[in-house]
Amino acid sequence: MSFYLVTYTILFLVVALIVFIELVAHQVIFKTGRMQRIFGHPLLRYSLRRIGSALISVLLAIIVTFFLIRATVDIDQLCLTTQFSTAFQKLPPAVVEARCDIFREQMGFNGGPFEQLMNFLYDIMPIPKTLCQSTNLLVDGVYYNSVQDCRFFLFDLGQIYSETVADLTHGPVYVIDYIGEKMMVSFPVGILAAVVQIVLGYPLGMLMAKRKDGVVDKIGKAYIISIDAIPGVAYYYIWMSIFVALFALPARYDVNNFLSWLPPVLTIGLTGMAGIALWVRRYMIDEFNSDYVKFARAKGLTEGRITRIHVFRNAIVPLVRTIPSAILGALLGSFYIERIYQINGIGDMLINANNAHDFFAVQGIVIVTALISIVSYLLGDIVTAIADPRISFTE
Amino acid sequence: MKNSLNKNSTAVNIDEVIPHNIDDLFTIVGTQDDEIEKLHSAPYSYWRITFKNLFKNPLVIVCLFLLFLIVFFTIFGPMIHSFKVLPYDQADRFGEQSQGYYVWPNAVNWFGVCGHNMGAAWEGLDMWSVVWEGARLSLLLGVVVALIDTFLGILIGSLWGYFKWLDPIMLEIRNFVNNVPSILLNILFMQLLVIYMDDFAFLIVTFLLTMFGWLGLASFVRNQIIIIRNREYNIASQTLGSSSKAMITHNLLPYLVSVIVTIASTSIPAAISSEVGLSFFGLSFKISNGDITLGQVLTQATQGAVATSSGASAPWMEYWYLLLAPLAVLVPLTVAFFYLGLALSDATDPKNHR
Amino acid sequence: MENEKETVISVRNLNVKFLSHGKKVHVIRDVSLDVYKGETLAIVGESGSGKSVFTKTFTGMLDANGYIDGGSVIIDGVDVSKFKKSKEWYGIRGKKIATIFQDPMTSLNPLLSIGYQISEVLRIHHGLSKKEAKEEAIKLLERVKIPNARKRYDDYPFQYSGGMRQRVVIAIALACRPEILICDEPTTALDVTVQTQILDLIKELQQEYNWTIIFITHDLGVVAKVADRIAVMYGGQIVEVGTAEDVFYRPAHPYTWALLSSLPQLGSKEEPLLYIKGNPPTFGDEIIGDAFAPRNEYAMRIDYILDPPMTKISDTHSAKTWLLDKNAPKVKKPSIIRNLRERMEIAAKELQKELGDYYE
Repeated sequence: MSFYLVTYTILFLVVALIVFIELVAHQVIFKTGRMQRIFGHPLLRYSLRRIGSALISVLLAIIVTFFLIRATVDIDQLCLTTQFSTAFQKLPPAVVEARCDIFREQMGFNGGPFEQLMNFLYDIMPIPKTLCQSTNLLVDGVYYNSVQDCRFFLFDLGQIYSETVADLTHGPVYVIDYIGEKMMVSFPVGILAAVVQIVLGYPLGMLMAKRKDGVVDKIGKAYIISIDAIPGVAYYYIWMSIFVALFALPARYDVNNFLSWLPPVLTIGLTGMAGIALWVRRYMIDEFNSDYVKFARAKGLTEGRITRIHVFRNAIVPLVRTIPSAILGALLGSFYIERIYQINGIGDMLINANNAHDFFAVQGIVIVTALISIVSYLLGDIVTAIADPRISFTE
Repeated sequence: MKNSLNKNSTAVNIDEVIPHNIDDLFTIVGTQDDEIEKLHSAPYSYWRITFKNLFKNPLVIVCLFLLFLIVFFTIFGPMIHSFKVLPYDQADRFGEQSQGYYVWPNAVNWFGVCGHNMGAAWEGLDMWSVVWEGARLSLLLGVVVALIDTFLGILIGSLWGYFKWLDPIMLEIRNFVNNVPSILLNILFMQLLVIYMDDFAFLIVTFLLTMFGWLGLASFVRNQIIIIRNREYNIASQTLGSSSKAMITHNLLPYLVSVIVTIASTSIPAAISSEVGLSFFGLSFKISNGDITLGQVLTQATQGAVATSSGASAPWMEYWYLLLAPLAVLVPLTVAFFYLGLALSDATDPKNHR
Repeated sequence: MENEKETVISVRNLNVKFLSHGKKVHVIRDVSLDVYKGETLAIVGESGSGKSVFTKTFTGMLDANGYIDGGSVIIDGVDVSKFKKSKEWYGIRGKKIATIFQDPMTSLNPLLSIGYQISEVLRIHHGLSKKEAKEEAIKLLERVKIPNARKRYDDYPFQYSGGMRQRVVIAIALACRPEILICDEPTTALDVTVQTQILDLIKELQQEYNWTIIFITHDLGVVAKVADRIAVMYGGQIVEVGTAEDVFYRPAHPYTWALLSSLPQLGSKEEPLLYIKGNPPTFGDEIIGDAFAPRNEYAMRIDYILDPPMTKISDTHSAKTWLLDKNAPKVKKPSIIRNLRERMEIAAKELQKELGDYYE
């Protein structure tokens, strides 16, 4: 009960804060003074608006995929193939029907399409709820439900039902937990790869810009063109054959063997650095040609200082926007790389879940990806605003 | 000090330089009227200079040659060779069998033979024929998808640039594509379409590739149109009372032509690449229906497992010719197209026409 | 040479070429010039005459495709035209010679505060600590008449108007404590009223710090305000050089005549405005003879054949024209500049009247 009290209070406070900020910003209350300066700050209101419109985007993504998933599958057929072993043919139709009714309700397929959507949205909204989850018991070729444990939820992304997605032998697995677990598999490789991209990409771009049309620039350009042109999958296999055949690194990822981390990390790192180098080079060349660099030179600053303090700083301002998405994107990993090196992360889960028509798992991944995408976008805005003093938030 | 300044210039001695008549030389003849108002430049033709710039680059010739070679072999490659796609039970025609029907490249099977673990439909296929048939379909698909993408991209992009109210709708579509993993969208649409039109694999794959392929191009075109429209020469032209038709044909189109040509040529390799990505997740054609693409050849070499001394591994790790054969066509094909696109964009850019 | 003036920059037979699309373009053609300590030298010419390129050789700031092809630029006894690495320039750029560029809107780094960009110079050139540099920078900002300098120290360039930014640029030049200041069209991008303020400020500071100023401009009005000595450039050459008196009242080169005649301030309402017909030579054309000949009403046949020599008229005045040759026919200057002094006085009076109206 106290859970409910706390969460409802928090929800109420959030709504109240939003209303308050809007009122202050429109100068309905606290027309001047410190309250106006703090709560009327354009950044606050701007962020609220952005979050609001971003949530609409997420909602759209959820609704579209919700119906797409339902359009691609026949729930009755699915019930027959998954809920019974071949024994269903011998069972009386009424038993099958009763079982399938339960299955339909479990999968959120009861009622009309609109009702289904509303039920689903209620589950995923941050409204406190306690859910008692059931686990399947197999008796004489028929699955039965037995109520097992109850749990408090703020967001309920549902429960995984397919054994090909997760191991269900130790009780029910909740989508929200399982996604978290899988993220922790994807993240280490993803974040290391992001670091490699940055550590290699920025210096390469700088070198290329510094000696434009020099040897490094020409080789770098050829590399970037090859990365852009050759299909990603083909390039990944080219890297893999180099790592595995030439350097005898393991072809399969294993958390406990650091050597096996190298191929996936380097594959993403070496491929991804090309894009970074391209933009760093482009922006730095633009800055090198700018008037203020000429003036800085005329001021008598050394080339090193001009490059570091003036050119590089200015060139990366448009690039810092991508940093949050690089870090948060690491949580999701790369679908291709996870498949190639057999990393059982989010990408692996998505493919399995979709093959098994595990709706809640698929929908859960959609929600999480969409959230990560908008959060990194918002963070990108904030980071850019910090880096660039010219940006103000008054429209 | 002053003297030294002027020393060098006064050193010119007329007598030594030219035979002359002093009076004649120092007759005032005034300005050269015909000379002074003319602008010093040769007559200018946009396409002539574009092609001149393009073919000045030796790499362009190399790329064109490569493309010609690839197109030639996609048409005649499987014909040149005696082997067509062969089913497993006829595989003994290849003579000496290696284990699992994998045959290394030799005088008969120039690119080797697909083996047992690559799936039933692949067993005993001659790689040479497979690769060129795959390249044929990939190329066809690439061109068709690129044409549709370019058409949609330019059409929607122009509308988007022209009508301001389209902005929120298009932005929401773009957010949607960014927010949902593209692979999931592809899978879902594939599943959906297969229900209704299983027999039209080419249409389905084309649809998957063009579904959101136009979006990048459209937003690019939209930005270009807004930028160009706000250029000072256009505002000037408008102020001087040019008709909107004249403005479109003289100011907007020539600039957009180069953009369009570039977009079209780089979207061919992009479409080929996307197909490889789809194949990788099993979302492309089915070889059981007789359709092969380069993406499938590549993917098939990486699926399944063959027994090796150090345990099971993907077929290509044991028989690396399986990977090399499709790459040998795929890499030159995409790189040549892509580089041509870049070269075209440079050559068609009026800024490089001096 | 009475009261021997100290030469700070001495250019001899300087040639600058540019590589453009595989072609060599001769931009500065055999130019010689001396700059004296404490003077204001104006370099005048149309756009494309090479005046900016010429002064860039003093600080080694030619664009990447430009290079010096013969000749010397001697600053403090060192031939800087032989410098290869940017390191060699560190003793000159910012220390000896500071430059102010045309567009104050783009001369400042948009992402660094005004204060940082000034104190940066102080810390690097004069080894001040952060705190000292800040105090000094605020003083400099006050010196260039930025109101509320202490408050505005942390402002960013985008918060300033064009005129204010040019003041900041000048403050940075001040911070360099140079001997020579190159002003590359410093007022062209500014409003007329702001122009005057900036020019006055530069003049004031020159007296205070005893700068040598090289003033690049195409605006003869500005020249008249600031210059002690004038060098007129055309087609990559100096065609006439002399004191302001010499060039304004005793011009010898037909190009200078044409320039002066086309000054709108000098025309009276009855006469049509004069202009110089045609276009200046574009680089890339090979110039035979006098570059100005095709536009020169007084061109002689020889002008189309041979480059004229620099001929000395007085100790301070020389011009590069065949008209000064002993064989040349005597020609009359255009009427409009024959009584230039009176016309200028009239123009000045009118201007005063206008300004008077303006300020009332």
